[in-house]
Amino acid sequence: MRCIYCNTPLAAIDYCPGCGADITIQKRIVRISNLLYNQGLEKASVRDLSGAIACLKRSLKFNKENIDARNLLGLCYFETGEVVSALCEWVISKNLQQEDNLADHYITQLQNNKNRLDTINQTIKKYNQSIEYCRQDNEDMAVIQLKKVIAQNPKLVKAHQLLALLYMKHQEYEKARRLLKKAAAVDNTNTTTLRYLTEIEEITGKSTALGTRKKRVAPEKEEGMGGTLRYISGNETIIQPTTFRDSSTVATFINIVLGILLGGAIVWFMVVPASRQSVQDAANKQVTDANMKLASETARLQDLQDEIDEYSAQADAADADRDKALDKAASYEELLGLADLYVQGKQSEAANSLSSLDASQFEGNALTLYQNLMSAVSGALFNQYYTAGTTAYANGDYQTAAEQLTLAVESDPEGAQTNHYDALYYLGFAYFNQGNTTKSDEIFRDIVTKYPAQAGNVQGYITGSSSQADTGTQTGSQGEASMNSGDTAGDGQGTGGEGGITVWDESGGTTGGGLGYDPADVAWTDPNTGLHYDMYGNLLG
Amino acid sequence: MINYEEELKKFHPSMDVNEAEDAIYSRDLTDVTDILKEMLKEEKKKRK
Repeated sequence: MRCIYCNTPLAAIDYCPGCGADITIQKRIVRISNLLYNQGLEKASVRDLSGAIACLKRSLKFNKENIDARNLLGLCYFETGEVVSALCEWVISKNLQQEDNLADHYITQLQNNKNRLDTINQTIKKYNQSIEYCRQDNEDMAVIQLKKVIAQNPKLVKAHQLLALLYMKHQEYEKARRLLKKAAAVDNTNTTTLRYLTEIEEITGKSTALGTRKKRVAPEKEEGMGGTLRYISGNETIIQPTTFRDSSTVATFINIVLGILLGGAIVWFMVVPASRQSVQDAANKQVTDANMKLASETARLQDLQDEIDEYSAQADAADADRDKALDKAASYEELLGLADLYVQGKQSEAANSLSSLDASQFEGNALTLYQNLMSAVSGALFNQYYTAGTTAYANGDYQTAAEQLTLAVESDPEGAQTNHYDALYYLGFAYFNQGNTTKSDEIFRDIVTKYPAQAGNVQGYITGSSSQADTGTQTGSQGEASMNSGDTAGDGQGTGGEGGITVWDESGGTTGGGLGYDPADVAWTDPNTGLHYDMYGNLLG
Repeated sequence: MINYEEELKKFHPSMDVNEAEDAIYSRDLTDVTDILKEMLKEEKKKRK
């Protein structure tokens, strides 16, 4: 410090040694500057950087040559990310005091790391660009730029504040809060930061914790290297080993033996179980692989068995189809043979064969053929049974007559045949002549029901009717008339009505010779009309 | 309530490295001691 009057270097006394002027005011100004510097230093030490910057600026207003205050101001600027401002203060400081200046060290450090300085310069440019974007309402671009700035220069408090302000504008309060907390960690009394945080707390109703983390202070180790204990006794530092070490030959030998034993124990307890485990694992893996292979083979076998079963079922179905087809073919063969018989005129054989066929075997044209043959041959069957029955009746064999006529009636259940009435009529009398009135009554009642016009012919023979008293006589007449074989059996006299039967004898003799037909072909003669019919019901003559 | 537009006005562009030199040269380094010296000079002039 020099005298403001004569520029003489001053001493501790309150007047100038050169001009003798009172320099109390000058010294007081310097003391105020120093006081403000001390306040700034205290604030900087607790990271109250804004407060420190304010104090240091005031300190420099009182004494621009307060180098410590200027250097500290630069350091505070540097800490808040404003590196260029810091650089300015340090450069001025260095110009004011060339020698023994801490600013020189700071400048050297900055200049040595060119990349770092360039990066910081870029971040400052981006920050300025972001402010421009904000003023042009291009806030998205501003947010992008500010994010880059914070990533490259995380101590730039102003960038944090501006980005937080943008987030607050878009009501992203939690993002803004996080940014402001980071800014507060750098400068914990920045009024802008605190104002924004207060605003966020009021809006969200949630307080923000700004407590600084306490760093754990590692306890001072009392033990030195190698397990030694240090303490001071008077002016001497005593270093005492905490363990006693015997380095004799016996101890060395014991240590070697213990080492070998320890090594063996390690091998036994760690290596051997591991090798055992590996062997067991390998064996288990082999067993697992074998089981998996077996399971896959079993599954494959099961699949093949299922396939075999399926094919067997298909073969059985094919056999059944083949048998059915063969049966059907045989039935068709039989049907064709039957049709052949029918065509050849062998209706009797055709009728016998037809009864053995199953209608369900046929379909389509074959079924139509079967039905046509059945309707054609059923008449022949009826006539066959009817002729046999009436022949037996004429011969007095009432039992056979009843059997054959029953078959004839059964072969024509619908009564379609013209001789159906006659078949019933003779059947009734066959039973009647046998004395089986129960059956004869049943037949006669059937005739009354089906043929009311001819009811008078049989009503007299129904047991319990008004003419039952004559039954014996009439029975005798009927039986007598029926017994007259070889001649026309009655002409309606005493034969119970109008009927008479012509029966041909075994020798083929005829009672109606010269009539234009072979008498041997006459199967029966209609008792009502006297006309002769062959065994198929065809009119002869 | 914070007004975005008003707050935005408080943000000013920072100085980059290229502007540092000009800033240093144009810095007003006048302190209280300089003002005191000036006052003494003026007082001397008045006495003369």
